[in-house]
Amino acid sequence: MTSCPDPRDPADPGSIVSAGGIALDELADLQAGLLTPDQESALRARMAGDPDALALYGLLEQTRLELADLDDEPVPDDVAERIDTALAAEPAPQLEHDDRDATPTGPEPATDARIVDLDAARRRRRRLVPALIAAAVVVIGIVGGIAVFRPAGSTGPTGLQAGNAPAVGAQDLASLWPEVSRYRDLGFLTGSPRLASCLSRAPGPVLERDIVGAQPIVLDDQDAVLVATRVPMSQQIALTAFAPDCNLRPPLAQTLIDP
Amino acid sequence: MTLPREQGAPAEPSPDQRSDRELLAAHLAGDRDAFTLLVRRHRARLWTYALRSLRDREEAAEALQDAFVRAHRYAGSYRADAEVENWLTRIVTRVVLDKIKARRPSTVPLDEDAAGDGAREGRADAVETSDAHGEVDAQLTVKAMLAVLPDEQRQAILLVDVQGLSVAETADTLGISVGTVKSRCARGRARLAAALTATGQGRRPR
Repeated sequence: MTSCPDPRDPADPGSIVSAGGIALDELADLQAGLLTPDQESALRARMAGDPDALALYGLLEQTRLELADLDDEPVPDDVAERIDTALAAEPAPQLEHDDRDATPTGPEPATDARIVDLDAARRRRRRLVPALIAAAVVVIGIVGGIAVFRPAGSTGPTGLQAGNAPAVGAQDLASLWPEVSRYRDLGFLTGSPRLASCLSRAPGPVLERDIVGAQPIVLDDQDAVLVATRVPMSQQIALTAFAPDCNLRPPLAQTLIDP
Repeated sequence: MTLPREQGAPAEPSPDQRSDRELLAAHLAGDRDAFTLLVRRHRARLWTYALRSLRDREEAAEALQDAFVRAHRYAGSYRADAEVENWLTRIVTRVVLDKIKARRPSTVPLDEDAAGDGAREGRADAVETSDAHGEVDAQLTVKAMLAVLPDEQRQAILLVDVQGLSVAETADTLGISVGTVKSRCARGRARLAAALTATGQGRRPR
């Protein structure tokens, strides 16, 4: 809890001590939550009889308020222009293909900054297949059998484009497998740069190249796209329902089946 | 968490009422203007952070440009468990830290010419006001003293006290422990408080 005096400081905090002998540094530790409960109790007891220490503590609180109230600096015009120019020169986000080069130029963004190399993330997911599948089973539940499903109004598909979107509940996804396996209709995700991002959010590894069928559905009164994918290293099929904003949140539901 | 936004800076036109997340989603869906709107919404706050961190106008401009390009390029990797503005703050912070590391072991500039506009302005104003009135504005003192804090203390204080990130978020962003964040904040605040006392701004009865 010692501080290193800085000759550039107009005042060295280590030299500031209350009339009762409490150092500004000790009070700063208290304010920052660095003291143990015992240390804090002891210090507060000393402060109670030391108005000067209380005033010093108030000074620290004032400092925090001043910091919180600091004004932003206006962005200079030339800086704003160069940012706009750089962004205008950028292509659309590279999200559509698994084989893209996602390596950023310059220093590698840190993962804790939430900039993720999706390929690397997928490689990690592949290594975690068993655990991820188990997690999906726990969260969503495996439907072992396939119920017969006849969506009302459906006259049967005639090609890759699905007909009416069947309405189902999350527990009934498996019943759509016979239908979805015959289509390749990604609905609102067709040609969308969101697709890869949406797939990456599934609890198991869901890759575009593993898609074996897709169909727009209505899941619990919400528009969705049901995507069927092969589960790597297994004979199972993952049926995953994605919402229109699936790039911003996890899938609506997922079911694993043994076709 | 509420973050200070565009304080002091002229309000930039933002007629778009979409949320940050909606703008990011629109950007991913191909809306060419959405990301620019997002940038304009947050750039003053992040510019200020970069400038105060690096104390070099050109480096701060480079950092901000680099960070926004990265965010644009990898927007699809945004995870909805964080606010968009905090996600942007983290990206800018990482770029700023890379720049600080790259220029070590050089030390904190001692002369005002080596410091950035914000620091130079703050210190000059503080001295001038002090000479003229015998009392300085507390904000100017704090702003000026921020510029001469050690990098580690300044980073912790800028993220926790100025940007409004939690101690845990700051620890995560800086890659250090929660205790270290608290300690750096404590040391930095003590120096700033001491400066307020020295310039007569501290409300310390004597």
